[in-house]
Amino acid sequence: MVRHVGTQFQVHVAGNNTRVRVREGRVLLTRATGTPTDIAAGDELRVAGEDMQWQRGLPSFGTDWEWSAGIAPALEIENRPLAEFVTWMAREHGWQIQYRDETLQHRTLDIRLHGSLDQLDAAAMLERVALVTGVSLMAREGVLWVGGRAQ
Amino acid sequence: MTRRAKWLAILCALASGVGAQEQRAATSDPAAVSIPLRAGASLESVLVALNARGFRIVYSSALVLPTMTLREVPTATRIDELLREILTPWNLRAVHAANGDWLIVSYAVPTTTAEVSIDDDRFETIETIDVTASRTRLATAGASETFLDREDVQRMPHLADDAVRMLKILPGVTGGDFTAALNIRGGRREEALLSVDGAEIHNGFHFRDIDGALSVLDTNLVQGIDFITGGMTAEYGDYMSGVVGLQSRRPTPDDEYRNGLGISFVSAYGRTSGTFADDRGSWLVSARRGFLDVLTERVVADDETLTPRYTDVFGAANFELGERSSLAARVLMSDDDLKFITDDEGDDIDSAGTGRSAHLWFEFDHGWTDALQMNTLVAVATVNQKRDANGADDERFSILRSDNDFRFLDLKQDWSWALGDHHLPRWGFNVNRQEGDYDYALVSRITDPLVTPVPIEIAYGTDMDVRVNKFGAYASWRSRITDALTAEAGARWDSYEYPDQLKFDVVSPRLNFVYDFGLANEWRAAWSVVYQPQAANELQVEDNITQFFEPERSEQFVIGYTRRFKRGMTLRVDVYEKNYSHLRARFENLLDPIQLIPEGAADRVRIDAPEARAHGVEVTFRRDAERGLSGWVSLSIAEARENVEGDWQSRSWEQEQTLAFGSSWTGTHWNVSLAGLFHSGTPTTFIGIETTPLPGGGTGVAGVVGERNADHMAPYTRVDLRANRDVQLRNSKLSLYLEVTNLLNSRNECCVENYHLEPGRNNSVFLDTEIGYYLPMLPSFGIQWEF
Repeated sequence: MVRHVGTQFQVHVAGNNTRVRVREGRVLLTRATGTPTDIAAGDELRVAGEDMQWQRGLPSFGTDWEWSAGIAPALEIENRPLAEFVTWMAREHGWQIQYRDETLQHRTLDIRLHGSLDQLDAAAMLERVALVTGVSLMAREGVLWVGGRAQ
Repeated sequence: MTRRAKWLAILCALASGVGAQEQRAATSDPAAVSIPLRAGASLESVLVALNARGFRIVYSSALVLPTMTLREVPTATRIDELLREILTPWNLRAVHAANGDWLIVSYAVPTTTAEVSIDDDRFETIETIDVTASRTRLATAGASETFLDREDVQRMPHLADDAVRMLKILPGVTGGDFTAALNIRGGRREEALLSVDGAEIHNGFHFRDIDGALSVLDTNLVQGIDFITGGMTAEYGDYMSGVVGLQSRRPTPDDEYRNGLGISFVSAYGRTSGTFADDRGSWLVSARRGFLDVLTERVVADDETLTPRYTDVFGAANFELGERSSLAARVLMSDDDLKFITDDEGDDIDSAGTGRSAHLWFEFDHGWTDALQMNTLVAVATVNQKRDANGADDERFSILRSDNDFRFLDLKQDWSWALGDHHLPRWGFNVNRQEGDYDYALVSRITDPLVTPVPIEIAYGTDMDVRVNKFGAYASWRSRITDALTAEAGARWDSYEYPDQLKFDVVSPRLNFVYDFGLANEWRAAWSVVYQPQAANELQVEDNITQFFEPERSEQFVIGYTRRFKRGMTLRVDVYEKNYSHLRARFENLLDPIQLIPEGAADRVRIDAPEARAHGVEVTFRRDAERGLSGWVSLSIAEARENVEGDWQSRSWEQEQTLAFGSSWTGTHWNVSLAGLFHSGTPTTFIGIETTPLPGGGTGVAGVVGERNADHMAPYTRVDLRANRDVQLRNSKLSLYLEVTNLLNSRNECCVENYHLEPGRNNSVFLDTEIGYYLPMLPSFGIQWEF
């Protein structure tokens, strides 16, 4: 049994093999015959019968996780702060957030978005929000840079 | 059914397929707006009301402030006009995204950015509506439709970092592997204008001796390519088939990196750029040194040495003189040096060729008012081409010396005047002076017994100066006849003066239409007459012709249909017909067009074909995606024939069926691009022998040449791969790529390189022909550091 403890994770089951990969939070894996196994963020556990194989320190972003962003419900942006959009994007894609400076970070709480971003991919959403707010948004190597890259 | 009737039937079939859609658009205009508005109302309240009526408008409080109000009651009744009317006073604008959304952005924001293409068609002014029938934009910022963005251009496979070569897989383009020059829709290579930042480049290709193997501007400098293959409007004269308009990279204060260094198997380059005067000015300097030895080692035989070297230097400066004026200066210098030495049992060739050119030009842009714009460009260029070659084999012996100098002075001025939103008259003129100093000599002896029973002696030379003056003027009027239909009618008059008081005056009418019904469909049509004069550097002294001829004429008809689907997919169909007349004689090598002294070869023939025609259908399906798989596939069916004494023969660059694709997969770290080109074999000419028993024993042998270009080489197949990886460093970026040209190592036949008699059974003989092949598999690796 895989118990969800408030997190983002994926489970892949093929025959006798089970693979659990955790992006955020932690997951308890309980086998019929054994004690619960705690899997933390960035860990992957492969179980085949009695064999357990660990892989640690995996990135929280990249192609392995893009599918999850694709099936996530779209964010309703109408009258929501830019900060919420940034946080939602970062969470869905496993990115870290880097604001240019603290002033801008506070400002993103005040900027309100209007309209809809339905049926757009991540790049298009970032592009459009950057255009209508004038705040640069750039995702590179697992980091969402807000307001440009820090020098 | 006649051939012309077939084309008309295709057009009718296409037209009927979209007729229903057009009717729907006419009965219900989705862009119509009817909401009560009052002066003083907040801008935000208007946008809320528009969203409530189903218009998808995306905006934010960062740009649309509560203090922004309507100063007057708007009069517009269409969404695009209304948004313009209420936003412009606040320095805001609306751009129309491909999915129908309207984005409210700052006026300074370009309509297309690197990350996502925003289709701004429905917000176009009369000045920005593109009426050209067949245009493909690559990497162009601010364009309404971009076939490939700038990153894609760099990522797609392109041999030797040559952006022009990449165009060879686009529909309508043919020309083989060796040359970078393009045959566009059945036209000769010389029929395409190559320009950089608006200036004509008179010597756009390196290595004239090997067919112009590379263009003079490398991909790293290219910001955009405006590629026109038909339906040129009136400002374009002198080139019958198309335009390759390269726009150089323009530095901005927001550039992440200002310098670049790169090295690959074929070249090394450096680039630096910056801004000055509070960012009112910018500059860029770039230099490239190329060494194709790694590639040529795989192309030439073991006993041959081919050392091509080339250098380009490009400099650019831009300065904003004020709100309405800007000044730009450019310099482009190129130098190439080719040595070819071979010494085997049969051949002995020692050849050297150099090419040098320098272009310097200045451009002045000025807006007299918001509506009246003027652009002036003055350019000077010098070109020197030298050839020095000796060659001998079993069939011929040739010595060639050539040292030709050319000078060009070009001045052109273009005006446009927007009369409201519905009319745009444009006019302009060009003055060109071209001078050429020819010094050419050829001695050749053809001893091939299959061609001639007695040696043919060839000896001629030319030492002469020529001067050509050109003057052209054009005017056109663009009208938005209805919201959906825009038309432009124009004409140009050109006058060409040659030595010996030879003078020609020609008039070229042009008509262009674009019909835009809804967001998803668009029709384009164009009819044009285009003349191409002989330039001062096109005198055919290599074949002992020292006179100029009248301008060649082409009448063209193009119709195109574009349909945009969801998820970034687009279908485009172009149908064209071109009829050429007044074509001057030209010279070709029947069997092997790639020779170091082609004019002294036995297969050199004169082609007197005053008329030619080309027609075809091009279907392109494209999918854009920010991540994952994107790309295009195109199918072209074409015919290019010329009338040689009543016999319509295939032109040597004809490709009857062509399938091409370009695909790109983008992951988190890697981009992998694959491009393919498959086409039916190019035309060639049969050669054989006739044997006759001789009285008293023995066999007489004579060469037989079949009808020109009646046979075909084997079908052509090529797949190229390029894998790119960007590595982000602290304050810089490393880009690595691995490229493999002709990944499958296909043996693509190009020509008949040699032939000789071989003894057969029973004292018979047969003709053994050696087929030459296009490029084999060529791997390449490069690295670039931007900082």
